Parts: sequence; C-alpha cells; structure tokens
Amino acid sequence: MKKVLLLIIIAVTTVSSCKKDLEDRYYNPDQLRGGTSDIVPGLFTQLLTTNKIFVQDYGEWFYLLSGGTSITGYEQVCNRYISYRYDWFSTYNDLTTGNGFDDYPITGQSYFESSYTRLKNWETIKEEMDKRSGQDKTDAELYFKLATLIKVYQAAKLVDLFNSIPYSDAFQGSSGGTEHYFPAYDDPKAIYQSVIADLGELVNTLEASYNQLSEVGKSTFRAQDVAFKGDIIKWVAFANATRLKLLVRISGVEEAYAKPLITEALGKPLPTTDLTWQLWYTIDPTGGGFWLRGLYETTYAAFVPGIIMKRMNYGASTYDEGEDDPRLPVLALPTKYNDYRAISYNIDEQTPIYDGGDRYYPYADDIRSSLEQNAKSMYNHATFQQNAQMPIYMFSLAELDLLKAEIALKGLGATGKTAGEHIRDAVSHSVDFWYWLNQLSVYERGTADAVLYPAKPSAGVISGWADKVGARFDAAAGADGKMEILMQQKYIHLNLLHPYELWAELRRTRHPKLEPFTWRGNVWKPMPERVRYPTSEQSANPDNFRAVADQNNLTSHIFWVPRCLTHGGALLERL
Amino acid sequence: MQLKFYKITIVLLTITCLQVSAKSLSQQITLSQKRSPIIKVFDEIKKQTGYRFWYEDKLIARSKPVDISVENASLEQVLELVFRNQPFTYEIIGKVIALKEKTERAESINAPPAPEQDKRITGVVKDTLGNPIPGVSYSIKGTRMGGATDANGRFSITVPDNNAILVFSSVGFQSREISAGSGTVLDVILTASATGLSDVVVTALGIKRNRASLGYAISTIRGEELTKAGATMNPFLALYGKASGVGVNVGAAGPQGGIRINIRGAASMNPDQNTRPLFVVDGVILADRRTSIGGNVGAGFDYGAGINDINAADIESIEILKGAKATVLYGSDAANGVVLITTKSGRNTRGFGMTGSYQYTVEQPANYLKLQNTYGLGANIYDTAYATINGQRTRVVPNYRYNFGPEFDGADVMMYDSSFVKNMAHPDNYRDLFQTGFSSTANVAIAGSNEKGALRASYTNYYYKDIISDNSWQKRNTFSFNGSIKASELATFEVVSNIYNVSSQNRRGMNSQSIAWGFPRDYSFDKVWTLYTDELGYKRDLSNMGVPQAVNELGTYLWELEKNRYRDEKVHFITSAKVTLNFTKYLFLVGQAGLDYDNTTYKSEKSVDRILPAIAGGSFSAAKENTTVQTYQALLNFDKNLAGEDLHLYAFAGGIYRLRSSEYLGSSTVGGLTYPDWYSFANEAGTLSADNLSQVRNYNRGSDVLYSAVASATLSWRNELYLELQGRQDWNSTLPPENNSYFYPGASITWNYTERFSIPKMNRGQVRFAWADVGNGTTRYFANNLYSFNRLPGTDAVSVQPPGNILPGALKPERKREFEIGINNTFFRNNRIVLDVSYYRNNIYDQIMNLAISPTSGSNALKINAGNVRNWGLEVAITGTPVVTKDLRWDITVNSARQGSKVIKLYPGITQNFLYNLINGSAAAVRADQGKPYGQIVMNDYQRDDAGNRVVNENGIYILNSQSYIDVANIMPRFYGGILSDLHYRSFDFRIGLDFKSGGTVFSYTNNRMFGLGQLENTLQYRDEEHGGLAYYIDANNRKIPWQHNQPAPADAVGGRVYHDGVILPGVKKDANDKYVQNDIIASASDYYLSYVNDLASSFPPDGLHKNNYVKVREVALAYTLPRALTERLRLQKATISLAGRNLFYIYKSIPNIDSESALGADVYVENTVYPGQRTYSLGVTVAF
Repeated sequence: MKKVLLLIIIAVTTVSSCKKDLEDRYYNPDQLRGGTSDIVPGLFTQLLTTNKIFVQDYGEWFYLLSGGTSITGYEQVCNRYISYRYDWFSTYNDLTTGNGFDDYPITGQSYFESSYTRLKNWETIKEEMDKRSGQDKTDAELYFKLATLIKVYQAAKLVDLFNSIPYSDAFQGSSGGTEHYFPAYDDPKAIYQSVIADLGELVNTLEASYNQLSEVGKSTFRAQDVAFKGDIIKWVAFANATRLKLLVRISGVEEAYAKPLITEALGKPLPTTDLTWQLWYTIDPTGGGFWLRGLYETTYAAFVPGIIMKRMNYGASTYDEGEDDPRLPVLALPTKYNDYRAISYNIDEQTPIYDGGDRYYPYADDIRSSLEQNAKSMYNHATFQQNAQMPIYMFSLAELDLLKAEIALKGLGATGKTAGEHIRDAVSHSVDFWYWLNQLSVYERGTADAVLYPAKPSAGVISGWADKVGARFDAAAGADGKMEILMQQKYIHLNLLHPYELWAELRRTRHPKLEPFTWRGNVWKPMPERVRYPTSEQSANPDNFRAVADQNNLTSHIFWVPRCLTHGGALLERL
Repeated sequence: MQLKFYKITIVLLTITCLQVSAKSLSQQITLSQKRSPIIKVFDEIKKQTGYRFWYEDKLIARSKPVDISVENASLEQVLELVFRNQPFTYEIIGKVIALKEKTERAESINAPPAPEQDKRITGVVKDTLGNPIPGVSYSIKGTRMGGATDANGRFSITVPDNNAILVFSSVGFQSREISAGSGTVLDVILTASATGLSDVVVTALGIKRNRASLGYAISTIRGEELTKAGATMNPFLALYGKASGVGVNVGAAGPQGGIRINIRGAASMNPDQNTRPLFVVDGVILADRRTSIGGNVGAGFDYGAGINDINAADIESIEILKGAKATVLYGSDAANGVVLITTKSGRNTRGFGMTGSYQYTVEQPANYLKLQNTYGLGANIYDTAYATINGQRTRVVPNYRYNFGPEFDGADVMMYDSSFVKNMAHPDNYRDLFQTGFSSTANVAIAGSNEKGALRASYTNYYYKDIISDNSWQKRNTFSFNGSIKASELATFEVVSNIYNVSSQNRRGMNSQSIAWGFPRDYSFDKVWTLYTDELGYKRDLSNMGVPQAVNELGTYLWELEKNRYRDEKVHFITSAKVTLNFTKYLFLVGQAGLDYDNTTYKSEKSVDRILPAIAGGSFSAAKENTTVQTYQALLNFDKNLAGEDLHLYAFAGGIYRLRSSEYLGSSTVGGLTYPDWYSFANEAGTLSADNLSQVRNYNRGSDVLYSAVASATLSWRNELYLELQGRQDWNSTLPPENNSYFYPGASITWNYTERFSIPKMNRGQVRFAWADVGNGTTRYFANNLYSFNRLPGTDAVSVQPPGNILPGALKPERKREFEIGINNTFFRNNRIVLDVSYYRNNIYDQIMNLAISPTSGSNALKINAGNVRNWGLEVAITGTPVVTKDLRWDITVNSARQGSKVIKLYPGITQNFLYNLINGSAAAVRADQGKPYGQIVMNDYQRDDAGNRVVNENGIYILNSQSYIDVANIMPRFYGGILSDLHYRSFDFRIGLDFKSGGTVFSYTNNRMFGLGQLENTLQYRDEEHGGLAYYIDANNRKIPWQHNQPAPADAVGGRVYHDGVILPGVKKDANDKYVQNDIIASASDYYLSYVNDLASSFPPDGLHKNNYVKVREVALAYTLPRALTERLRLQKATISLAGRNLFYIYKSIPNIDSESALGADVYVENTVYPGQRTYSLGVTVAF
C-alpha cells in the first residue's frame, strides 16, 4: 500500500512539475506580463520618449545626410561640399525614378509605419482605461488625452509628408474588424480638420483632467511626464500652439474655416517659454541611438548652404557683431580662412574651387583639424554634432512669433502686434534660444571656446539685429517679399532642429527662394512635393492603397499647398 | 606537426581501448562454506568483491544450500560454482549481480549434450563482382549471436549445429539466409540492392527497420556517397541530387555559411516559422537555425548552424524522413522532415583496424559575371574626362557612375595619383578581388570490435582558406568516439561523442554596395587595391580622392576584410549515451540521453580608422552564445511472433523529454578605442551611458520544452503485409498552457505483393500507403502577448511598450495532414532496375502565422491560426545497372521530385497574405494569396495597351503601371533532382554526379543593377551601329532626331554631335489624341538601361526576375584502388587514391552572370552579393591498415 501511495505522490509531483515547467517556459522571462502592475503611465512615457515623434531618429538622420540628396539636401538646410566627384548628383533633377530625390530616410526607415505602430500605446491605454471605473479610470484619462495629443500631432506630420493617410479607421487594430486591420485612406483635409478639432477639445479639457487626478495619480504623473514634469499648462500651450500652426498651414486653402479658429486659438494659452525638455541621460552623440549620432557620422554632409548663411552673414565673410546675425557663430563654425563660407548649389562654379585645393576635415571629432582644414562652414560641432545635452524640441517662442507674424501679415487673426513686431520678437527669441542651446554643450570646453562657444552679444546688439531684420521685413515688397524674409527667419531658427517642418513650410509657401542646382551646364530647380508611401502599404493594404496609388510619386502636392502655387507658372517663378 | 598529432591521438585512443577491454572480473575470492544458505554466500562475496546481489525473495525461497571451497578464485569461477545447482541463474550488470530465472536454453545445459558439437565457421562475404564487403551484419537466425565482417569481408562465428541458419545483411545489399552446413568455411555472395527492399534502414527515434516493412519513403545516403567526390567541409554540401524531394542550397556565404535544406517544399505562412528539417545525430536532436548574410547572429555574418560542424568522414549514413508518417514519432520538431545522421561505429571492424586519409582541395572562384570591356565610364560617348593640371588640359581617368562613356581607346590618361596609364579596359579587375583558396583535411580513425562490443575513435583536422582573402579562414578539429559494449545478455551500453572545435575568421559579409556601383573596367585593381589605406596604413577618406564611388565602395569592402577581424570560436559537443536492457527475449527497454552543446564566442576587432589628427574609430566586442538541446527518452519494446511464425508484432511505447535553451550575452566598447591595435574593453575611449547601454549589455535568452509520450505497433503477416499504427502526444511550451497538448496519429500499410503473386522479371513488388496527421507548435514566445518594460535610468519613471502584433485569442497547435502512396519494385536478375515512386499530398492547416495587416492599424500582424495550404509532390528514384561484366559495372541513379502547392483558405474576410518584400524598398512582394500557389511573386506590370503592348513614355522608355499587380513568378522550385553515374572498372571507380532544378525564381541585384550601370556584356546592345544602335542627334529642344550613322551632324545638332546608341523600343506610345500608336520615339541605350538601376525605386521591371533553372555537373571523381598484391606488401589492407572535382560547371543555367546558388542564405530568392561561385578540385589518399 505504501508503495502505491508513494507512486501516486511521485506521479502527481512529476505531472504538476511538468505542467509548471511548460507554463514557465511559455513566457518570455524578460518581458512584463499584463495585469501585474499599472501599465498606463509607462505606456504614456514610452510613447512620449519613443523616436520619430518628438525625439529624432538616428537612422533617419544618417540617411538624410549621407547622400545629400534627401530632404535636408533638397530643401537646402545642409549638404555635402558637392563637386563633380560625386557623380550621383548628375540625376539631381530626377523626381520620377528615385535616382534623384532620395526619400529613403522616410520610406526606408519606417517613418510611416512607426508613426502608427508606436502609437499602439494610445490604443492600449484606451483599452486599459475602458476596463476601469471610478478614480482609477479618471487617473488613466489624462494619459489617454495626452496620448491622443501625441497621436494627432503625429498624424498631422504624416499628412505633411504623404498627403492622404489612413486615419479615422486607423490606430484601432486591436478592436478587430477588417476595416481596422486594413484602414482606408482619408481625405487629408478632413484629417487636418479632425486633428484641429481634437486639439481644440484637448486645449479645453486637459487642465481639468489633471485636476481630477488622485494625489497618487498626480505624483505618478509628475514622475512619468519626463517632458514637462507634470506642468499641465505647458501641455495645454503645446496643444494650442500645434493647433495654431496647423490652422495657419491650412489657411491657404481653407481661409474661411481657419480664420475664426485662429482667433479662438490666439485667445487660449500659448507657450510663454520655449517648450523643450532634456532626456534623462547624457547623450552619447558618437555612439548612442540619438539623432545626433546620425549627424556626427555624416558630418561631411553638414555644411551650411548659402540659403541660410547669406541671410546671417552680410558684408565681409567674417562675423561682425552688429552687422551680422548674432546666431551665425553659434550655428556655424568658421573656416580655415577664419571666416564663414557657405557651400553652393552651383556645382559648376564650386567644382573648380574644390579641385583647386579647397578641402575640409570630414569629421566632428577633432576641432583643431576642422578649424585648420575646413574651407567651408559646417554647423557648429558644439551646438549640434557633439552636444550631449541637446534638448528635445517641441515648440519655441520664435516659432510662435513667426506664426503670429504670418497671421498678422495675412490678416488671419488679431495678434495684438504688427507682423514686423513679431519678426523682431522672433529674432530676439531665436537668438536667446540658440545661445542657450549652445551653452548646454560641454564639448571641448576650454579648447576653442571662442569659436565653439561665442559669448552672447549684449541685449542691445540683439535687439538692434532684431530691428534690422524687422525693418527689412517692413520694407520688403508685398506679401511675397515679406514672406521671403519670414521664411528665411524660419530657416535660420529651425535649421537642423526641425527640418521636416521647414520642408512643409517651404512647399506651402514656396519660400525661401532656393539656389538653383547647376551641374555640367544644366540649371535645375527640382521641387519634390512629398515622399512615397512605404511598400508595406502596397503589400499589406493593397485594396485601400489602390485609391492613392496614382498620387504615390514625388510630385503630387500636399492638400495645403495653395492653388495659386500649384498651377500655371507660379511654381516656376518661385526662384 | 599534423603527423605528431596523429601519433599522440592514436596512442591515447589505443590506451582507452585497452583499458576498456582489460576490464575483467579478476577479483581474488577465497571461500569455504558447507551447506550454507545462499544469502550467506552472497554476503561473503559482497564483502570480498564489492559486488552486490539483486534478487526477488521468491527466487531465494527456491534456492538450495551451497557447498563451496575455493582459494583466490575469480568471481566468474565462484559464481559458476555457487549457481551450478540452483534453479536460477545470474547476470552481472555493472557492480550488481542480478538473479534471474533460468531460460529454456539455460535449462538445457542440464539436458543431454547435443548430437553435434559447436563449431567455428569462417568465410568471406563478397559482392557479385567478387569484392569483399566490409560491415556486413551476420547472425544466427533466432539469436542475437553474430557480428559484422571486417574490412576484408571476413567473418567468423561459432554455430551450435549444422542446421543453424546464418543471416547476412548489409545496407545496399539484399540480405541472405544460408544454412551453416557441414563445412567450416563459407563464402557468401550478396547481391546489391541500391534501394532494395530488404536492407535495414534507420527510422524515427533511431529504430532500425527492414525497408520492406516501411509504409513510407525514406532516402538513405551512405557515408561513402558523401565522400566519393572528395570530402566536403560538411556532408550536406555533397547532398545535392542524392535524395528525391530534398532541396539543397549553399548560398553566397560559401561553404562556411548556412546550408538550406528543404524537404518536400516545406514552407510556412509565418516567415519566422522554421521550415528546416530536424537534424538528429545518433539520437541527439541538434540545435538549428536559419541564417543568412546580414542576419542578426553575432556580427551579422552567415554563421551556419550546428550541422555545419558534422564531419563527413565520420558518417555512416544519412537517412532522410520526408513525410508526415515517417516523422510522427519526432512529433512537433519534425514537421518539415527529419535528417537522421548515424556516425560510424566500430561494428564493421572485426578485430582492430585503422584508416587514415588526407585530402588537399583547391578552392577556386568560379566567375559567372560577364562584363563588357568596350565602353568606359561616362554618361555618353562624348564624356571624355579632362582636368586642368598646372594650366594644361589633361585627359584623366573618368569619375562617373555609369559605364556609357567613350570607347576605350588606349590613350594616355592620368590617374588620381598623377601617374599616367593607358585608357583601356581591365577585364580581370573583378576576378582580381578574389584568390584561389584551399582546404586540407586529414583524418585518422581506429576501430575494433568483438563479441562484447565495438569501438571507434577518429580525429579530423581541417583547414580552409576562403577565396575572398587570406584573412578569411576556418580551422577545425573533430574528435569522434563511438563505443558499445554488450555487458551481458541483459544490457548493452553505447556511448557516442563528437567534439568539434571550430574557429573561423572574416566570413563573407554583405557587400551589396559594390553591386549598386559596379566594377568599372577603367580601373585596374592593382592600382586601387592599396588605395583604401593611407600612408600610415589607416583608412583613407576616399571621397576626396576623385575616384568613382565604386572604388570607394570597394575600399570599404577591402578595409572590412583586410583590417578588421571578426572571429567566432566554438566548442560543439554532440553526445549520447544509450542503454538497452533485454528483459526477456520479447521485451527490452532502450533508454537514451542526448546532448547537443554549443558554446560560441564571437569577437570583433575593428581597427581604428585613423590615428591623425586624433585616434578615431575602432572597436572591440565580444559575445558568448550558448545553445543546448537535451533529449532524454525511454522506450519499452515488444518484439514477438504471434500465432506461429507468420504473424509478428513489433511494438514500443515510452516517453521523451526535449529541452532547448539558448543564452547570448554580448558587449561592445563605446566611443572607439584609445590606442590602435589593442583590442580590450580596457582600451575603450567612450563613456558608458544610458544612451549606449544596449551596446554594453546585450543579453537574450530563451528555452522551450517538449514532453512526449509515443506508442507504435507494427503487425506483419510473413513478409507480405505490414500494418503500422503510431501515435504521439506532445506537451509543448511554445503554445499557451490551455492549448499546449495535442495528439497525432499515423498509420501505414505495406503490401509486398510479389510474395503472393509471381510476376515475370519482377523480383519485388511493393505498394505502400501512409497517412498521418501531425501537429506543431511555433517559435519560442511567438504566442506570448507581453509588454516590454524598463525603468528610465536615474528617474522614477517607467516605460512600457505593448506587443507589436495582435493576438486575438490563444493559439492552437498547427496541423499537417498527409497521405502518401508509393511503390518500390525491383526488376531482372540481380535487381538490375529498382524503381521507387512516392506521391504525397498534404494540407497544412491551422497554421500559426503572422498574418500581415496594415501597420496603420497600429500593429503589424495578427497572430492567428489560419490558412490551409495544400502541397503535393511526386518523387521518383530509379536505380539501374545497365552493364555488369566481370570487370565492369555501371550503375546509374536518377532522383527527381516535382512539387506544387495551393493556398486553399486564409482567414475569414482575408484573401491576401503578404509574406515578404522581395527586395528592400520594392513593391515586389512574395505572397500566399488564397487560391494561388504559395510563394507567388507579385509586381507591378509594365503599362500596356488593350492589346497587351508595352507603353512607352515621352522619352521612349517603358513605364510601370503602379496600379496593376501581376503574378510574375514563384519562389518555390517545381522540379529538381540529380543523376549519378558510377562506373567501376577493375581498380578504377569513376563517378559523375549531376543535379538539376527548375523553377524557383530569383531576384538578382547583380543582373538588375549592373544592367542599369551599363556594365554587363548584354548592355552592348544598341550601344553602337554594330550592336543595332540607331543614329540620332539632339536638337535645341532636347529632342532626339533620327539621323544616319555616317553623316556629319546637321547644323541644329547640339554640340554638332551624332549619337549612335538610339533604340526604339517595341511597343506603343500615346499620340496627341491620347490614342495608342506604334512607338517611334528614339531613346538612348543608356536611358533604357538606366531604368533598371533605380536606387530607390518602389518597383522594378518585372523582367528583372530570372527563373533559376539549371543543370550542373556537381561532382566528377576518379578513384584508383591499389592492387592487393601491392598493398599487402606495404602491409596495408587497402589504399585508394582519388581525384575529384566539385561544382564544376553548368550544362545549362537560366540566370546569367551569377552562380545559380548565390542567394543570400535563408531567402533563396534574393541575390545581392559580389561573391563568385566556388569550384573545387581535390586529391585524396585513403589507406586502411
């Protein structure tokens, strides 16, 4: 009997230990099982900090710069020191086959797909929230609203790059149904209007949502909100500023719709400081996953083009305080000639200069060599390539000023100031911003401080420069002339920090006027209008994709480009 | 050095053998007992010897008192006396003496002596040509007594009487039963039966079965088949065309890389699902993986898998189990077939034997790339390049991307370094990137056997130098040990152990950039070979050198290859221990433990890029990867005749436990190195931070377990009918706990109808039918729905990420239901023709898959059970012996398989299933859409008019229709196989092996890109008058106007130039009224070719695909066996010299410019590397002592 009992015990133990073994090994030991903790705050933080939304992406930047034929190259924010030795520029004017304009940083780096899949957190937070009730639900609600803010922000960026995108049925795969597995493409204007409506709702309700948080909820939120540390007013301002930006963007095609909403937005909280934040770690610009690494590794393609340089540097090619833009030395590095020289898009002119011995040090790892060898000005290595404290940019006062300037210029709403005054504000705010950003850096402190960390000019000098630009703006001929100056300022201010925004603004306004590309006697002015959808959509969503396949090229306009610019000769006149 | 190694090895191994055989029961026992109870005697023996007794009380109850008086006697002697009059007997198992009932025979000891005495019979077993056959198993029928013939075919056995029946059997021969008769010498002749019915094959779980009893197809490849044309780096490289329905492909990574083995077109709708067969070595399940160049293992090379280490010289046979029924007993692991490898044992060696072999192999690059040598770099023929040097206009070597420039004219041109060279083509510049490599392999093996057991030990030293660089090599030491001992009638032990010590350096990396930019013939590579380093030996910034990007890309390739060291070093251990306990004549238990252990260290030493003005770049990284598979199984077997001799039952049941686990931990320096040439974490220049944490702590792990219960029963009626029923129940940890168990049954019937009817000229006729419904789990953690979690360092915040795919519900096991019918017939005397045909059809349903959905849903795929894919195929193997004379024998074998598939059903509401992008950034996709074959390639078609004519754009170039998707091709091969011819003439053996494949389309970047670059020879078309080019000039409006070749340009011609490379592509254009009319627009040849090279095109011309059909001369070998008179004088048993070539040439191939086998690895439908094919010539010597 004893033996039988023993056998039974052994058998039961074996079976149950096998069962446990099977269950234990079923789960990946390095991942979190649901239901073990409150995942909502973590889902929000992950969404906030993931690359490609607010934090720029290493891979994208590597490919943006390496060839010189992608967005930053064509929009003339930065480029290589081009000569005939780079024969691939011979197809610069090609906007049809893919041999010219290079949209790989977007299409090949999953920008489109990631914009949706990384927003799966939004859907997951919603599911978690819907399961809850009472205070638990209220505590989740704020995160859901902020996730919604991020969702609509990113959706608008997608429209700016692609035009029509799946939107109303998108982001909801987990709720099932063919329409959510394979979402249809929506009209881009409808998406914009939906986003603008959602942002309005958020502006009105975010603060109340915050106030309804439990005390524990508030303290968790302060920890999890690594951007604004729980300062909900900043979120409200960011939502409202984003709304204002989108309203201005759409105003060229839907002025009647935009105007009252612009007025409404101007009456709601807007940023009173630059909206930026620091990552929780020190960036490793040379080896980490942050966008600066892409810039660092392709420093040879980070020269300042004339389109920016010429609007900062007047008179002699050196920096002369009072005569030149105070931002020049924080944005750019001097050349070996101890002055500031831009690269040109006139390759026929530039090639002999290069062949004549103009050279450069192609890296950002030795400031002495750069200063000794660079025949053209690179972006300042302390401010950019090697800035381990580079903040995450969300919105800035200068960007707001420039929006207001356009609103005032075009009579889209009452800003309380003239356009020229806003331009002056923009310049002052931008100078403050860039000197602040430059001073965050610690790269080669004490080595070449004079060039890497120029002393900030006095307030008088700055305001004097702001007045100069303002006066130039006021004096400019007509709205078009004024827009040119406004956009030049936007280029100078946002430069490498927000190149996609600049590209959107360039396509919408056709300003600033770019330098034609001159190659072996050909003068080209190619203007890519969009990037192509990723092939994943053609493969995984073919039926819906068919509806937009005819626009899947580099030349179809985004809906917000005003009709007067997309038809007839206006397009060719822009230069 | 190598010779010394051998000697040491031989000595060591000999000592081991001696120790084992010296084991005896020579304890000295002194006993004196009168009428003692047997227990008391046992106690005394235990005290003196340490041997314990094991018995049942009921036996002891029947014992008789013992009288014994011995002094310094051996244990055997004492036991003999003690048990002499007892009603039971004993058996020694280890240090235990087990009491057991006397069997009938044991009782017969007391019976009167047999009329005839035991006698010894010796003899030689030969084949029909009179050659002795080693390794023939022989036994006395109805007993387990017997052995195997030695290297000279000799055997020796003691038989109880003249009526004893001796049974002789050997793989590849028909077995024979011969009466012992009255003589003492018996010569036996066995008839070959290459795929005969009566040979013994290894089946699932290592169970040996008579082929005649199998209801399903098994392909057997004998060890010598793998080495006839020279031993390859691993045996799978010699498997081409040797088994029907088994596809083999070595990719561009070369022999060091992964080998794709695909059985019956195994495919899955889950791209991550394993579709490779299960590999089992002597009962040990191997860890396996799919690999490719640019994969995610180690430093991104194609490292291959555990099977790469298997040593051809140690292989006895490979059996390939193809269908579901054949693999039922392996359960989930074997859904894609099983490759069973049996290593050599000493059983075939009577007494003691030793063999040694050495082989030297030349590894030669086989270049299939045909580049044109007429036109140099440039966009058109007027692009002669000049530079102003010191105020002088000087002609220079051009710096362009495309090769549509002027004709090479032999003029003096200046290079980047100011030296002058002739403007001419350098036709060998691609070939010059590669070298002739070599490999050498030396093997020594000793083996021995006697009635008690057998041993074999072997050592192989292998060295390989790759064709890409001296820096690229592999070194390997293989130790193989196989020992078995029959400790008693009750117990047999067997231990097999293989130790592989493998180091490799600088495997072939991805090098697609060179394909994108080409190998401009303007440059001789001895001129640019040294260019990638600067004066100090560090990386030169080539972008400033004024050389084309192509040279730049080659510089990067060479730097990687020559200056960096990527090394992987592994210790791989495949070992198994087996014990067989024969409880009774009918009942025995086989217990086995197996371990596949692989410990690999990856080290990357990347040189600093430059040391001036400051040291920059460089890195050191190290990673450890440990993979183990443990298998434990116990099977209780029952084997008995029922109802007389006619009905026989063989059944077994038992349990199996299989655990796979892996762990990887890697770290890399951050921020470059402080000093050059010192590779250590201590030399790290950067600072650790949260930003580079992933480089510093790169860890992953995982395990999965499979518990199984198996049962099998085979009921046979004489040799005529066999019915087999099998079942297996699996509990699989890759599936969710609620669905992790599943059962699968299998059944087969075999009817050897010639046992019933006599059919003229037919010796054997067999039909067989098999059915099975097997289940499978999925990849580890695939069925999980978990969150990624981490804490943001230095903050109170946490970060949570949801899973990327949607899991709508718990997954179930996937299933495969297959039936198979087959015949196996032999014809004419000596089985001159053997025909084996199988037809199978299966449905793989409830497939566990990622069904791709639009990422705009927020997720990439649904993880579901869905789909039903039908596969079918016909496999034919014919072996014939057209000629047999006294001196000559010619055997020919043809293996072939035809296969197809269809996706029957996907998921409710979904009919399209995207599997992979065919090529990065392309709209060309591989799909498994409902109603179509699996693996269709879908692409944009050309724009066409209603009549199907291609439409050209305003430049006269074809355009693609981005809204129309067409099925262009399929990635799966349709028809493949091989032909082997073996000619034996006196002492010569001559073999030719061909293999062929039809279907299985490949996207070849090489063809596409280099066509676009104007580098391929076939781009000469339309370039000039001679090649069909039309004359035109370009007017001020940039239009191309037709002209005459031999007339000067008209006044309005731009630059006064006439061009000769015009082409009017056949097709239609739209006229002013939007009507399609015949195309008459002249395009330049370069415009036409350029439409193929688009760097970022979202689709490619559908004619950029190539069917991958080929017929290849895979192996040719000539072997000469030295005459016996000579070898005997040299005191050798046998000596053979062989000369062989492998991968020699294609008789036909449909894909131009590349080797048909240059796919990237796991994805055999994409080609994107620069590596040429590889041809080998080997010289080998084998001697047996």
